Amino acid sequence: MTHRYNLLVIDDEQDFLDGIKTYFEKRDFAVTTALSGEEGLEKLRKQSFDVALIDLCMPHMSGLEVIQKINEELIPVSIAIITGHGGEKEAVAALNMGGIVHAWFTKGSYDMPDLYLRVKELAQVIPEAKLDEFFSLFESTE
Amino acid sequence: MRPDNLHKKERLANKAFKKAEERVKKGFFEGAALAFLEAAKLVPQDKDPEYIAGCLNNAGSAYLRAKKYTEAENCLQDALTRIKKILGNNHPDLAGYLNNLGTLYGDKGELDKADKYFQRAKKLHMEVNNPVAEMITKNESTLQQKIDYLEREKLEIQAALYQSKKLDYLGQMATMMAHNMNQPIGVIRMTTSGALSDVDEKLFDSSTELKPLLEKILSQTERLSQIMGNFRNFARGDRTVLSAVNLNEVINYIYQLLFDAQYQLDNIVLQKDLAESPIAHSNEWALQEMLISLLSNAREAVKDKAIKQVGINSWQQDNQAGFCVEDNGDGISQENLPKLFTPFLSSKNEGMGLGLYFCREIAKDLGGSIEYYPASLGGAGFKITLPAQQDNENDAPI
Repeated sequence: MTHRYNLLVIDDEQDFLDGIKTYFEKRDFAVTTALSGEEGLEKLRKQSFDVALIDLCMPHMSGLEVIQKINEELIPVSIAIITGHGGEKEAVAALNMGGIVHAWFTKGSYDMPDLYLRVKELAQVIPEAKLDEFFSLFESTE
Repeated sequence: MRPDNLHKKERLANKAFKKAEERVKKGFFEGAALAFLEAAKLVPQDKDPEYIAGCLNNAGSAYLRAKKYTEAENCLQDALTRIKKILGNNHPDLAGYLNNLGTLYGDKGELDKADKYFQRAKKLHMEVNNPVAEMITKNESTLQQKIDYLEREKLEIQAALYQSKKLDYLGQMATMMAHNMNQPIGVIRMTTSGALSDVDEKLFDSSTELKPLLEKILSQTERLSQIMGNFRNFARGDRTVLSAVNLNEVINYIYQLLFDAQYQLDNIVLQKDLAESPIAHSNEWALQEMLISLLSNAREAVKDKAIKQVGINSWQQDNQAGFCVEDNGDGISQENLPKLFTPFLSSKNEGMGLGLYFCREIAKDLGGSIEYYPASLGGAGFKITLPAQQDNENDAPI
Protein backbone atom coordinates (compact mmCIF):
# COMPACT_ATOMS: atom_id res chain seq x y z
CA MET A 1 0.00 0.00 0.00
CA THR A 2 1.30 3.39 -0.98
CA HIS A 3 1.98 6.11 1.56
CA ARG A 4 -1.03 8.18 2.48
CA TYR A 5 -0.88 11.72 3.77
CA ASN A 6 -3.13 12.62 6.65
CA LEU A 7 -5.48 15.53 6.11
CA LEU A 8 -7.91 17.03 8.60
CA VAL A 9 -10.68 19.25 7.20
CA ILE A 10 -12.60 21.50 9.60
CA ASP A 11 -15.68 23.12 8.07
CA ASP A 12 -19.26 23.52 9.26
CA GLU A 13 -20.58 22.63 5.81
CA GLN A 14 -21.13 18.88 5.37
CA ASP A 15 -21.19 19.15 1.55
CA PHE A 16 -17.70 20.61 1.53
CA LEU A 17 -16.34 17.92 3.79
CA ASP A 18 -17.90 15.17 1.66
CA GLY A 19 -16.58 16.58 -1.61
CA ILE A 20 -13.02 16.92 -0.35
CA LYS A 21 -13.03 13.52 1.37
CA THR A 22 -14.22 11.69 -1.77
CA TYR A 23 -11.71 13.38 -4.05
CA PHE A 24 -8.65 13.20 -1.81
CA GLU A 25 -9.26 9.61 -0.72
CA LYS A 26 -9.33 8.45 -4.33
CA ARG A 27 -5.75 9.66 -4.40
CA ASP A 28 -3.04 9.49 -1.80
CA PHE A 29 -4.75 10.97 1.25
CA ALA A 30 -6.52 9.72 4.33
CA VAL A 31 -9.11 12.37 5.21
CA THR A 32 -10.60 13.02 8.61
CA THR A 33 -13.41 15.58 8.89
CA ALA A 34 -14.73 17.77 11.68
CA LEU A 35 -17.89 19.92 11.62
CA SER A 36 -16.74 22.37 14.31
CA GLY A 37 -13.64 24.03 15.69
CA GLU A 38 -13.94 22.13 18.96
CA GLU A 39 -14.25 18.75 17.23
CA GLY A 40 -11.31 19.55 14.96
CA LEU A 41 -9.08 20.58 17.84
CA GLU A 42 -9.92 17.37 19.73
CA LYS A 43 -8.87 15.34 16.71
CA LEU A 44 -5.66 17.34 16.28
CA ARG A 45 -4.71 16.60 19.88
CA LYS A 46 -5.30 12.85 19.51
CA GLN A 47 -3.86 12.14 16.09
CA SER A 48 -1.03 13.55 14.01
CA PHE A 49 -1.90 15.17 10.66
CA ASP A 50 0.26 16.45 7.83
CA VAL A 51 -2.15 19.22 6.92
CA ALA A 52 -5.16 20.86 8.56
CA LEU A 53 -7.56 22.65 6.21
CA ILE A 54 -9.56 25.08 8.34
CA ASP A 55 -12.63 27.18 7.50
CA LEU A 56 -12.26 30.49 9.34
CA CYS A 57 -15.94 31.28 9.69
CA MET A 58 -17.68 28.77 11.93
CA PRO A 59 -20.13 29.09 14.81
CA HIS A 60 -18.85 28.83 18.40
CA MET A 61 -15.12 28.31 18.05
CA SER A 62 -13.88 30.18 14.98
CA GLY A 63 -11.07 29.02 12.72
CA LEU A 64 -8.86 31.77 14.12
CA GLU A 65 -9.31 30.41 17.63
CA VAL A 66 -8.42 26.90 16.44
CA ILE A 67 -5.20 28.25 14.91
CA GLN A 68 -4.40 30.12 18.13
CA LYS A 69 -4.80 26.88 20.10
CA ILE A 70 -2.61 24.97 17.62
CA ASN A 71 0.00 27.68 18.17
CA GLU A 72 -0.26 27.65 21.93
CA GLU A 73 -0.18 23.87 22.22
CA LEU A 74 2.63 23.59 19.66
CA ILE A 75 0.74 20.99 17.64
CA PRO A 76 2.95 20.18 14.63
CA VAL A 77 0.81 20.54 11.49
CA SER A 78 0.79 22.63 8.31
CA ILE A 79 -2.26 24.84 8.09
CA ALA A 80 -4.27 25.98 5.09
CA ILE A 81 -7.23 28.27 5.61
CA ILE A 82 -10.49 28.59 3.68
CA THR A 83 -12.67 31.69 3.74
CA GLY A 84 -16.09 32.40 2.34
CA HIS A 85 -17.29 35.67 0.83
CA GLY A 86 -16.01 38.65 2.83
CA GLY A 87 -13.59 36.78 5.07
CA GLU A 88 -10.55 38.74 3.91
CA LYS A 89 -10.07 40.50 7.24
CA GLU A 90 -9.93 37.19 9.12
CA ALA A 91 -7.64 35.63 6.52
CA VAL A 92 -5.20 38.50 6.90
CA ALA A 93 -5.34 38.13 10.68
CA ALA A 94 -4.59 34.39 10.34
CA LEU A 95 -1.74 34.97 7.90
CA ASN A 96 -0.26 37.55 10.26
CA MET A 97 -0.24 35.14 13.16
CA GLY A 98 3.35 34.29 12.47
CA GLY A 99 4.14 31.83 9.77
CA ILE A 100 2.13 28.78 10.72
CA VAL A 101 -0.54 29.37 8.08
CA HIS A 102 0.81 28.29 4.70
CA ALA A 103 -2.01 28.72 2.22
CA TRP A 104 -5.29 30.54 1.81
CA PHE A 105 -8.19 29.36 -0.36
CA THR A 106 -11.40 31.26 -0.99
CA LYS A 107 -14.62 29.31 -1.36
CA GLY A 108 -16.21 29.44 -4.77
CA SER A 109 -13.13 30.56 -6.63
CA TYR A 110 -10.87 27.50 -6.77
CA ASP A 111 -11.14 24.08 -8.37
CA MET A 112 -10.71 20.78 -6.62
CA PRO A 113 -7.54 19.75 -8.53
CA ASP A 114 -5.84 23.06 -7.58
CA LEU A 115 -6.74 22.59 -3.95
CA TYR A 116 -5.47 19.03 -4.08
CA LEU A 117 -2.11 19.98 -5.60
CA ARG A 118 -1.52 22.80 -3.14
CA VAL A 119 -2.50 20.72 -0.12
CA LYS A 120 -0.26 17.90 -1.33
CA GLU A 121 2.68 20.31 -1.58
CA LEU A 122 2.03 21.34 2.00
CA ALA A 123 1.79 17.70 3.10
CA GLN A 124 5.21 17.02 1.63
CA VAL A 125 6.84 19.80 3.63
CA ILE A 126 7.94 18.53 6.99
CA PRO A 127 6.99 21.14 9.58
CA GLU A 128 9.83 22.54 11.63
CA ALA A 129 8.33 21.32 14.86
CA LYS A 130 8.36 17.77 13.47
CA LEU A 131 11.97 18.19 12.39
CA ASP A 132 12.88 19.39 15.86
CA GLU A 133 11.16 16.36 17.30
CA PHE A 134 13.11 14.16 14.91
CA PHE A 135 16.51 15.72 15.65
CA SER A 136 15.88 15.71 19.36
CA LEU A 137 16.12 11.91 19.19
CA PHE A 138 19.81 12.33 18.44
CA GLU A 139 20.54 14.89 21.08
CA SER A 140 22.27 13.78 24.23
CA THR A 141 20.26 14.29 27.38
CA GLU A 142 23.07 15.16 29.80
CA MET B 1 -36.20 126.42 9.75
CA ARG B 2 -37.74 129.31 7.84
CA PRO B 3 -41.38 128.90 6.71
CA ASP B 4 -40.58 129.24 3.00
CA ASN B 5 -37.88 126.61 3.41
CA LEU B 6 -40.41 124.32 5.06
CA HIS B 7 -42.77 124.91 2.20
CA LYS B 8 -40.03 124.09 -0.28
CA LYS B 9 -39.30 120.80 1.51
CA GLU B 10 -42.95 119.85 1.45
CA ARG B 11 -43.00 120.45 -2.28
CA LEU B 12 -39.88 118.35 -2.75
CA ALA B 13 -41.42 115.58 -0.62
CA ASN B 14 -44.55 115.55 -2.75
CA LYS B 15 -42.39 115.44 -5.87
CA ALA B 16 -40.44 112.48 -4.50
CA PHE B 17 -43.69 110.75 -3.55
CA LYS B 18 -45.05 111.19 -7.08
CA LYS B 19 -41.80 109.97 -8.56
CA ALA B 20 -42.04 106.90 -6.32
CA GLU B 21 -45.60 106.17 -7.44
CA GLU B 22 -44.54 106.44 -11.07
CA ARG B 23 -41.69 104.03 -10.48
CA VAL B 24 -44.06 101.55 -8.84
CA LYS B 25 -46.27 101.75 -11.93
CA LYS B 26 -43.26 101.11 -14.16
CA GLY B 27 -42.13 98.22 -11.98
CA PHE B 28 -38.92 99.83 -10.67
CA PHE B 29 -39.62 98.77 -7.12
CA GLU B 30 -36.26 99.35 -5.53
CA GLY B 31 -36.04 102.85 -7.03
CA ALA B 32 -39.58 103.47 -5.86
CA ALA B 33 -38.66 102.44 -2.32
CA LEU B 34 -35.73 104.87 -2.33
CA ALA B 35 -38.00 107.68 -3.53
CA PHE B 36 -40.56 106.93 -0.80
CA LEU B 37 -37.76 107.03 1.77
CA GLU B 38 -36.57 110.35 0.36
CA ALA B 39 -40.08 111.73 0.68
CA ALA B 40 -40.21 110.56 4.30
CA LYS B 41 -36.87 112.22 5.03
CA LEU B 42 -37.93 115.58 3.58
CA VAL B 43 -40.84 115.98 5.99
CA PRO B 44 -39.81 117.08 9.51
CA GLN B 45 -40.46 114.41 12.13
CA ASP B 46 -43.05 116.43 14.09
CA LYS B 47 -44.79 118.01 11.12
CA ASP B 48 -46.77 115.10 9.71
CA PRO B 49 -45.85 111.81 11.41
CA GLU B 50 -48.69 109.91 9.72
CA TYR B 51 -47.39 110.95 6.31
CA ILE B 52 -43.89 109.68 7.27
CA ALA B 53 -45.30 106.37 8.49
CA GLY B 54 -47.23 106.07 5.25
CA CYS B 55 -44.10 106.73 3.20
CA LEU B 56 -42.17 104.12 5.15
CA ASN B 57 -45.00 101.62 4.71
CA ASN B 58 -45.01 102.27 0.97
CA ALA B 59 -41.21 101.98 0.82
CA GLY B 60 -41.41 98.67 2.68
CA SER B 61 -44.08 97.40 0.34
CA ALA B 62 -41.95 98.42 -2.68
CA TYR B 63 -38.88 96.71 -1.20
CA LEU B 64 -41.02 93.65 -0.65
CA ARG B 65 -41.99 93.59 -4.31
CA ALA B 66 -38.28 94.00 -5.19
CA LYS B 67 -37.66 90.99 -2.90
CA LYS B 68 -35.31 93.02 -0.68
CA TYR B 69 -36.61 91.39 2.49
CA THR B 70 -34.23 92.88 5.07
CA GLU B 71 -34.88 96.45 3.89
CA ALA B 72 -38.58 95.70 3.59
CA GLU B 73 -38.75 94.36 7.14
CA ASN B 74 -36.89 97.40 8.56
CA CYS B 75 -39.20 99.86 6.79
CA LEU B 76 -42.43 98.01 7.57
CA GLN B 77 -41.60 97.47 11.25
CA ASP B 78 -40.53 101.13 11.59
CA ALA B 79 -43.73 102.24 9.87
CA LEU B 80 -45.86 100.05 12.15
CA THR B 81 -44.18 101.40 15.32
CA ARG B 82 -44.75 104.97 14.15
CA ILE B 83 -48.39 104.53 13.16
CA LYS B 84 -49.16 102.75 16.44
CA LYS B 85 -47.80 105.78 18.33
CA ILE B 86 -50.19 108.02 16.41
CA LEU B 87 -53.33 105.93 16.10
CA GLY B 88 -53.01 103.50 19.03
CA ASN B 89 -52.93 99.74 18.83
CA ASN B 90 -56.46 99.08 17.62
CA HIS B 91 -57.13 101.53 14.82
CA PRO B 92 -58.54 99.93 11.66
CA ASP B 93 -55.95 101.79 9.55
CA LEU B 94 -53.26 99.60 11.12
CA ALA B 95 -54.55 96.72 9.04
CA GLY B 96 -52.76 97.83 5.87
CA TYR B 97 -49.47 97.92 7.77
CA LEU B 98 -50.06 94.53 9.38
CA ASN B 99 -51.10 93.06 6.05
CA ASN B 100 -47.82 94.16 4.44
CA LEU B 101 -45.85 92.55 7.24
CA GLY B 102 -47.90 89.37 6.90
CA THR B 103 -47.14 89.23 3.18
CA LEU B 104 -43.45 89.82 3.92
CA TYR B 105 -43.17 86.92 6.37
CA GLY B 106 -45.25 84.71 4.10
CA ASP B 107 -42.81 85.36 1.26
CA LYS B 108 -39.88 84.69 3.55
CA GLY B 109 -41.38 81.35 4.52
CA GLU B 110 -41.97 82.27 8.17
CA LEU B 111 -45.52 81.09 7.96
CA ASP B 112 -46.42 81.14 11.66
CA LYS B 113 -45.36 84.76 11.94
CA ALA B 114 -47.21 85.66 8.72
CA ASP B 115 -50.36 84.06 10.03
CA LYS B 116 -50.14 86.10 13.25
CA TYR B 117 -50.02 89.40 11.33
CA PHE B 118 -52.86 88.41 9.02
CA GLN B 119 -55.01 87.40 11.98
CA ARG B 120 -54.40 90.73 13.73
CA ALA B 121 -55.12 92.63 10.53
CA LYS B 122 -58.33 90.69 10.03
CA LYS B 123 -59.44 91.32 13.60
CA LEU B 124 -59.05 95.08 13.16
CA HIS B 125 -61.27 94.87 10.12
CA MET B 126 -63.91 92.51 11.41
CA GLU B 127 -66.68 95.10 11.36
CA VAL B 128 -65.39 97.29 8.58
CA ASN B 129 -66.11 95.93 5.16
CA ASN B 130 -63.48 97.50 2.97
CA PRO B 131 -60.98 96.61 0.25
CA VAL B 132 -58.17 96.05 2.75
CA ALA B 133 -60.17 93.32 4.50
CA GLU B 134 -60.76 91.67 1.19
CA MET B 135 -57.07 91.82 0.42
CA ILE B 136 -56.28 90.28 3.77
CA THR B 137 -58.66 87.41 3.13
CA LYS B 138 -57.07 86.90 -0.24
CA ASN B 139 -53.59 86.88 1.30
CA GLU B 140 -54.75 84.39 3.88
CA SER B 141 -55.89 81.99 1.22
CA THR B 142 -52.58 82.44 -0.64
CA LEU B 143 -50.85 81.56 2.61
CA GLN B 144 -53.02 78.47 3.00
CA GLN B 145 -52.13 77.44 -0.54
CA LYS B 146 -48.47 77.89 0.28
CA ILE B 147 -48.83 75.74 3.38
CA ASP B 148 -50.60 73.04 1.35
CA TYR B 149 -47.86 73.17 -1.23
CA LEU B 150 -45.12 72.84 1.38
CA GLU B 151 -46.92 69.91 2.96
CA ARG B 152 -47.18 68.13 -0.37
CA GLU B 153 -43.51 68.86 -0.93
CA LYS B 154 -42.69 67.40 2.51
CA LEU B 155 -44.54 64.19 1.62
CA GLU B 156 -42.67 63.94 -1.66
CA ILE B 157 -39.33 64.41 0.09
CA GLN B 158 -40.28 61.77 2.62
CA ALA B 159 -41.14 59.35 -0.17
CA ALA B 160 -37.81 60.06 -1.87
CA LEU B 161 -35.96 59.53 1.40
CA TYR B 162 -37.77 56.26 1.95
CA GLN B 163 -36.84 55.17 -1.53
CA SER B 164 -33.18 55.89 -0.84
CA LYS B 165 -33.38 54.06 2.48
CA LYS B 166 -34.97 51.11 0.74
CA LEU B 167 -32.08 51.07 -1.70
CA ASP B 168 -29.83 51.05 1.33
CA TYR B 169 -31.64 47.97 2.71
CA LEU B 170 -31.48 46.31 -0.68
CA GLY B 171 -27.76 47.04 -0.83
CA GLN B 172 -27.22 45.41 2.54
CA MET B 173 -29.45 42.54 1.59
CA ALA B 174 -27.53 42.10 -1.67
CA THR B 175 -24.15 42.02 0.09
CA MET B 176 -25.38 39.36 2.43
CA MET B 177 -27.06 37.48 -0.41
CA ALA B 178 -23.73 37.37 -2.22
CA HIS B 179 -22.26 35.90 0.94
CA ASN B 180 -24.95 33.23 1.11
CA MET B 181 -24.82 32.38 -2.58
CA ASN B 182 -21.13 31.84 -2.45
CA GLN B 183 -21.53 28.71 -0.38
CA PRO B 184 -23.59 26.65 -2.87
CA ILE B 185 -21.59 28.01 -5.80
CA GLY B 186 -18.43 26.89 -4.05
CA VAL B 187 -19.85 23.40 -3.47
CA ILE B 188 -20.93 23.06 -7.11
CA ARG B 189 -17.59 24.27 -8.37
CA MET B 190 -15.60 21.95 -6.14
CA THR B 191 -17.73 18.89 -6.85
CA THR B 192 -17.84 19.31 -10.62
CA SER B 193 -14.16 20.24 -10.99
CA GLY B 194 -13.27 17.24 -8.81
CA ALA B 195 -15.48 14.88 -10.82
CA LEU B 196 -14.05 16.21 -14.07
CA SER B 197 -10.51 15.52 -13.01
CA ASP B 198 -11.61 12.07 -11.74
CA VAL B 199 -12.98 11.36 -15.21
CA ASP B 200 -9.72 12.53 -16.81
CA GLU B 201 -7.71 10.31 -14.55
CA LYS B 202 -10.12 7.40 -14.98
CA LEU B 203 -10.96 7.43 -11.30
CA PHE B 204 -14.65 8.13 -11.84
CA ASP B 205 -17.04 5.22 -11.42
CA SER B 206 -20.15 6.42 -13.23
CA SER B 207 -22.28 3.47 -12.13
CA THR B 208 -22.08 4.50 -8.47
CA GLU B 209 -20.89 8.11 -8.48
CA LEU B 210 -22.82 9.86 -11.21
CA LYS B 211 -26.26 9.86 -9.62
CA PRO B 212 -25.17 11.26 -6.22
CA LEU B 213 -23.12 13.91 -8.04
CA LEU B 214 -26.10 15.11 -10.07
CA GLU B 215 -28.32 15.02 -7.01
CA LYS B 216 -25.86 17.14 -5.12
CA ILE B 217 -25.68 19.74 -7.88
CA LEU B 218 -29.46 19.83 -8.11
CA SER B 219 -29.89 20.36 -4.38
CA GLN B 220 -27.35 23.19 -4.44
CA THR B 221 -29.15 24.92 -7.31
CA GLU B 222 -32.39 24.61 -5.33
CA ARG B 223 -30.65 26.34 -2.48
CA LEU B 224 -29.55 29.11 -4.85
CA SER B 225 -32.99 29.68 -6.25
CA GLN B 226 -34.40 29.81 -2.73
CA ILE B 227 -31.94 32.56 -1.86
CA MET B 228 -32.91 34.45 -5.01
CA GLY B 229 -36.59 34.00 -4.15
CA ASN B 230 -36.07 35.49 -0.70
CA PHE B 231 -34.37 38.48 -2.19
CA ARG B 232 -37.10 39.02 -4.73
CA ASN B 233 -39.78 38.79 -2.06
CA PHE B 234 -37.99 41.30 0.07
CA ALA B 235 -37.53 43.72 -2.83
CA ARG B 236 -41.08 43.47 -4.12
CA GLY B 237 -43.11 42.46 -1.10
CA ASP B 238 -46.21 44.56 -0.52
CA ARG B 239 -45.74 46.57 2.69
CA THR B 240 -49.31 47.80 2.95
CA VAL B 241 -51.18 44.56 3.62
CA LEU B 242 -51.56 43.55 7.26
CA SER B 243 -51.90 39.93 8.28
CA ALA B 244 -50.95 37.59 11.10
CA VAL B 245 -47.18 37.55 11.51
CA ASN B 246 -45.31 35.28 13.89
CA LEU B 247 -42.65 37.63 15.26
CA ASN B 248 -40.29 34.80 16.23
CA GLU B 249 -40.28 33.55 12.67
CA VAL B 250 -39.39 36.99 11.28
CA ILE B 251 -36.64 37.41 13.88
CA ASN B 252 -35.13 33.97 13.24
CA TYR B 253 -35.42 34.33 9.49
CA ILE B 254 -33.70 37.72 9.26
CA TYR B 255 -31.08 36.81 11.80
CA GLN B 256 -30.12 33.60 10.07
CA LEU B 257 -30.34 35.04 6.59
CA LEU B 258 -28.39 38.24 7.16
CA PHE B 259 -26.71 38.47 10.53
CA ASP B 260 -25.64 35.02 11.67
CA ALA B 261 -22.39 34.96 9.69
CA GLN B 262 -21.61 38.64 10.36
CA TYR B 263 -22.15 38.35 14.10
CA GLN B 264 -20.00 35.22 14.19
CA LEU B 265 -17.19 36.95 12.34
CA ASP B 266 -17.37 39.90 14.74
CA ASN B 267 -17.57 37.64 17.81
CA ILE B 268 -20.88 39.13 18.86
CA VAL B 269 -22.82 37.02 21.34
CA LEU B 270 -26.53 37.04 20.58
CA GLN B 271 -28.88 36.52 23.50
CA LYS B 272 -32.23 35.43 22.19
CA ASP B 273 -35.20 35.31 24.51
CA LEU B 274 -38.34 34.63 22.52
CA ALA B 275 -41.86 34.40 23.91
CA GLU B 276 -43.97 31.46 22.85
CA SER B 277 -45.15 32.42 19.36
CA PRO B 278 -46.20 36.08 19.64
CA ILE B 279 -48.51 36.89 16.72
CA ALA B 280 -48.84 40.50 15.56
CA HIS B 281 -51.36 41.89 13.11
CA SER B 282 -48.69 43.40 10.91
CA ASN B 283 -46.61 43.19 7.74
CA GLU B 284 -43.60 40.90 7.62
CA TRP B 285 -41.60 42.83 4.98
CA ALA B 286 -41.91 46.05 6.96
CA LEU B 287 -40.87 44.22 10.13
CA GLN B 288 -37.89 42.76 8.27
CA GLU B 289 -36.76 46.28 7.38
CA MET B 290 -37.01 47.40 10.99
CA LEU B 291 -35.04 44.38 12.18
CA ILE B 292 -32.31 44.96 9.60
CA SER B 293 -31.95 48.55 10.82
CA LEU B 294 -31.92 47.66 14.51
CA LEU B 295 -29.58 44.67 14.22
CA SER B 296 -27.16 46.66 12.00
CA ASN B 297 -27.18 49.52 14.50
CA ALA B 298 -26.56 47.12 17.38
CA ARG B 299 -23.67 45.53 15.52
CA GLU B 300 -22.17 48.96 14.90
CA ALA B 301 -22.70 50.00 18.54
CA VAL B 302 -20.73 47.10 20.05
CA LYS B 303 -17.95 47.25 17.44
CA ASP B 304 -15.25 48.52 19.79
CA LYS B 305 -16.25 46.58 22.90
CA ALA B 306 -14.07 43.76 24.21
CA ILE B 307 -17.14 41.65 24.95
CA LYS B 308 -19.85 42.23 22.37
CA GLN B 309 -23.43 41.45 23.30
CA VAL B 310 -26.69 41.94 21.47
CA GLY B 311 -30.01 40.86 22.91
CA ILE B 312 -33.28 40.28 21.14
CA ASN B 313 -36.55 39.25 22.72
CA SER B 314 -40.15 39.00 21.66
CA TRP B 315 -43.28 39.37 23.76
CA GLN B 316 -47.05 39.36 23.70
CA GLN B 317 -49.30 40.96 26.26
CA ASP B 318 -53.05 41.60 26.14
CA ASN B 319 -53.75 43.02 22.68
CA GLN B 320 -50.16 43.96 21.92
CA ALA B 321 -47.15 42.06 20.67
CA GLY B 322 -43.65 43.21 19.87
CA PHE B 323 -39.93 42.77 20.22
CA CYS B 324 -36.90 44.51 21.72
CA VAL B 325 -33.35 44.83 20.45
CA GLU B 326 -30.61 45.73 22.95
CA ASP B 327 -26.85 46.05 22.90
CA ASN B 328 -24.01 46.63 25.34
CA GLY B 329 -22.54 49.57 23.40
CA ASP B 330 -22.30 53.13 24.67
CA GLY B 331 -26.03 53.86 24.49
CA ILE B 332 -27.51 57.16 23.37
CA SER B 333 -26.07 60.35 24.87
CA GLN B 334 -28.39 62.68 26.80
CA GLU B 335 -27.72 65.27 24.16
CA ASN B 336 -28.86 63.08 21.26
CA LEU B 337 -31.86 61.62 23.05
CA PRO B 338 -34.49 64.22 22.06
CA LYS B 339 -33.57 64.03 18.36
CA LEU B 340 -33.01 60.30 18.27
CA PHE B 341 -35.69 59.52 15.70
CA THR B 342 -35.11 62.56 13.48
CA PRO B 343 -33.60 62.04 10.04
CA PHE B 344 -29.88 62.46 9.37
CA LEU B 345 -28.81 61.98 12.98
CA SER B 346 -26.05 59.42 12.77
CA SER B 347 -23.27 58.57 15.17
CA LYS B 348 -22.02 56.04 12.68
CA ASN B 349 -19.38 56.90 10.15
CA GLU B 350 -21.27 55.14 7.41
CA GLY B 351 -24.92 55.53 6.57
CA MET B 352 -27.23 58.49 6.40
CA GLY B 353 -28.85 58.45 9.80
CA LEU B 354 -32.23 57.49 8.42
CA GLY B 355 -32.55 54.06 10.01
CA LEU B 356 -34.31 54.98 13.24
CA TYR B 357 -36.35 57.66 11.53
CA PHE B 358 -37.82 55.07 9.20
CA CYS B 359 -38.23 52.56 12.01
CA ARG B 360 -40.52 55.09 13.65
CA GLU B 361 -42.34 55.81 10.37
CA ILE B 362 -42.78 52.09 9.69
CA ALA B 363 -43.98 51.45 13.25
CA LYS B 364 -46.51 54.29 12.86
CA ASP B 365 -47.74 52.88 9.55
CA LEU B 366 -48.24 49.53 11.24
CA GLY B 367 -50.29 51.15 14.01
CA GLY B 368 -47.52 50.61 16.52
CA SER B 369 -44.63 52.48 18.09
CA ILE B 370 -40.91 52.35 18.78
CA GLU B 371 -39.35 53.62 22.01
CA TYR B 372 -35.84 53.98 23.30
CA TYR B 373 -34.81 52.70 26.72
CA PRO B 374 -31.42 52.27 28.41
CA ALA B 375 -30.82 48.54 28.04
CA SER B 376 -30.03 46.18 30.91
CA LEU B 377 -26.99 45.10 28.87
CA GLY B 378 -25.65 48.65 29.31
CA GLY B 379 -26.19 50.16 25.86
CA ALA B 380 -29.19 51.17 23.79
CA GLY B 381 -32.53 49.36 23.81
CA PHE B 382 -35.42 49.72 21.38
CA LYS B 383 -38.89 48.42 22.09
CA ILE B 384 -41.27 47.89 19.21
CA THR B 385 -44.94 47.61 20.09
CA LEU B 386 -47.46 46.35 17.54
CA PRO B 387 -51.13 45.46 17.60
CA ALA B 388 -51.55 41.74 18.31
CA GLN B 389 -53.54 39.56 15.96
CA GLN B 390 -57.10 39.28 17.26
CA ASP B 391 -58.96 35.96 17.04
CA ASN B 392 -61.79 37.47 15.05
CA GLU B 393 -59.48 38.77 12.33
CA ASN B 394 -59.76 36.70 9.21
CA ASP B 395 -56.15 35.64 8.84
CA ALA B 396 -55.29 32.45 10.58
CA PRO B 397 -51.98 32.68 12.42
CA ILE B 398 -49.12 31.45 10.29
